[in-house]
Amino acid sequence: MHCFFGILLLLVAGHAAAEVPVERAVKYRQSAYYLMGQHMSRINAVIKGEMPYNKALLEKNAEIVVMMGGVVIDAFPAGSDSGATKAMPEIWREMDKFRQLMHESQSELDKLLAGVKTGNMATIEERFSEASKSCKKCHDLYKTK
Amino acid sequence: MKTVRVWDLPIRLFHWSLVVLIITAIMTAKTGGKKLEWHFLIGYATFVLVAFRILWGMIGSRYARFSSFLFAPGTIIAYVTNKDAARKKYLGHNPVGSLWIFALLGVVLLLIATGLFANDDIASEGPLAKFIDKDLSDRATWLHVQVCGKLVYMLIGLHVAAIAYYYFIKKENLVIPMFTGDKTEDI
Ligand code: HEC
Ligand code: HEM
Repeated sequence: MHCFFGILLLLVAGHAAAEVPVERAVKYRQSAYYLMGQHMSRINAVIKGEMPYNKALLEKNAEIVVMMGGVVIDAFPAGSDSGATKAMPEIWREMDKFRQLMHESQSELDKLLAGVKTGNMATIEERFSEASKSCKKCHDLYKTK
Repeated sequence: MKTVRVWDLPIRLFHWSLVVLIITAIMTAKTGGKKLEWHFLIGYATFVLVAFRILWGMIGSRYARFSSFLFAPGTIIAYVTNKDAARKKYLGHNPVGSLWIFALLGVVLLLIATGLFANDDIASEGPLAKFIDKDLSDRATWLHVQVCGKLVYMLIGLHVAAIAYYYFIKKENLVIPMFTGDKTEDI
């Protein structure tokens, strides 16, 4: 009987990551953000001239960043505010604002990808700068150091 | 009244350069993104400046030398607790002010050391961060921002408060001598 209700509960919870134990939910989003940061750094290295420009590779980097942006959208299930996380508890109290920042950031990332596809370095630089500002805006509000 | 050259030219240049570098370092860090590249350069410039100050603390003129403001703990305690000891006028750094100087130099050096290993969790990191793992770099970042960064704000606050105290209560302007280098001594 318990088992039945358990399963029912899981089905009702139904959300992408909502039924995952807390530490897995945390690890899941941190992994996505980790990749996001890695690929943002690679784009930055090309902008700074530390890595040679390669259009296909740069596009791939930008695509991964956009994709990870899609992954984290549902990676803050209720209750995943404990354990080894740097996510501040305010996130769950201000979920609307948090989601708003996420969507703003995601649209900057879309613009970055579009910019990368033009192959124009000045455009890429500008869009990259806007995109990183959107990351920082949220980190300053909702992520501890 | 006798005019005494207390702050030699290198000390005055050091002082005002450090003011500019610390303020711009904080501003560029707050902005982040591309400005973080500037933040790094400002950090390196600050290192050169502080290294010079340490050298000058050994070979500079009288009031610049560390030996002129290295006080025994007893002297420092007496300065705070004993009225007679406090009345003695120090042209250079007084026993409490000297502690501030050592604290600031220490904290700035720590900022630079931890900054080299820090990361911004976006797309930039100090030049040595790639040699250590992410957790350690995150801890360096925490020390850099949450510990040393906060300490710098606190030290700046104390510094300004002390100058205001001297200006309004003790009726002594400490800012002008940091431009002209001179103080007057009663004899
Ligand atoms: C809407 C808010 C928000 C936005 C926008 C955002 N982040 Fe984050 N980020 C977070 C939160 C919250 C965490 C902490 C997650 C945790 O520890 O559970 C985090 C963590 C990270 C981490 C650390 C991951 C780790 O190793 O633990 C990196 C790297 C990162 N973000 C990169 C980025 C980049 C790059 C962008 C922009 C392209 C970005 N973030 C945009 C909220 C955001
Ligand atoms: C004069 C010396 C320095 C001062 C006063 C200083 C001060 C600061 C402060 C106050 C912050 C936090 C900004 C915030 O509130 O978000 C910061 C962030 C940072 N600093 Fe420094 N810093 C110095 C030197 C350096 C050096 C030498 C490096 C590396 C080469 C460095 C790398 C970083 C990085 C990567 C961050 C970003 C951390 C983050 O936003 O998560 N800093 N610095």
